[in-house]
Amino acid sequence: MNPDEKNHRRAIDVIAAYGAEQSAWPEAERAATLDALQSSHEVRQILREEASLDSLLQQSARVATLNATQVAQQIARGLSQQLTLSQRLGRGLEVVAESLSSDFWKPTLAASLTLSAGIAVGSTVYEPVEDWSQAEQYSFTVVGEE
Amino acid sequence: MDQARLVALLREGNQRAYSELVVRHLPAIEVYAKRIVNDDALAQDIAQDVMVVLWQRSADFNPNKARLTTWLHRIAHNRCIDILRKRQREFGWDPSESKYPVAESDTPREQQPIDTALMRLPESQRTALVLTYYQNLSNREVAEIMNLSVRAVESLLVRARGNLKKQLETQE
Repeated sequence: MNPDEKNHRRAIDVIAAYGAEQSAWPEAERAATLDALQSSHEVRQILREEASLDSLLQQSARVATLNATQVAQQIARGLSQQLTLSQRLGRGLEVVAESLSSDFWKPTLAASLTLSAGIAVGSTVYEPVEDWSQAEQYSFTVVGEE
Repeated sequence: MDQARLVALLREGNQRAYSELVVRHLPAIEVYAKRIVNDDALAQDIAQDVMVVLWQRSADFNPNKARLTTWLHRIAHNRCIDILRKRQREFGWDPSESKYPVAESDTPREQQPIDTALMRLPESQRTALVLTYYQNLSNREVAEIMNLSVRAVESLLVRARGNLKKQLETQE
């Protein structure tokens, strides 16, 4: 393939990819594509075909309907509130840390540990009786003996 | 104000700079999402999510590597693709034929034959065409957004335009 044919082939590829509008072509290849247009009937034919597709593409209209200023305010406000919440949480953690550094928490901790241990032992050792008829028999036996 | 200055201010937590950037970029991102997901309400949610990311992760944006619009389009692209694939998996949703299956758009819009043809394109071809043709991004920027080579983007564009022509001929 000689350099002219190569240029024409590349110009066809550029127009087939980016359409007929020169501003859409890659800047580095714009001049070569224009040269190929001047010299090749085939390239011009491709340009006409792509121009009609471009005009159809122009018919597809989508518009932005969000109010950008309002959206920005909402997001900034929402995120600032989150920041305030995290600042409050941070302050709460600071208070907890401060109180742990003093001595008053020791009796509270000892009481809560005792209570927790009691609940744990009670819930593991206790076995509920499901067959109550057996229990009644024992009661009768005891009564009969009397 | 210069965009680089606005981004620098945003990184310091300046809300005015943030608002200015949202005003500049939200419309393009909203329109892009509408063209990709074909559902106005869903597209608006995506666009707003992208703006939240702008506030939360502006430190991740490197102005020496990309334009802010490219970075935002990339985030929007990833969101759109995630949602499209999730919907296709869950509902077998075909965006060319129906709207988002849960939320109906409040503003029914008359579809042009070109809109239908665009929505029938495979997702990657539609994305390449929309980013290049409607969003006016360069081939390098589109390649970066789609995580492809420039040649691969060109190939998608040629196929997209070829498929559109075929579809529009069939519709006639």
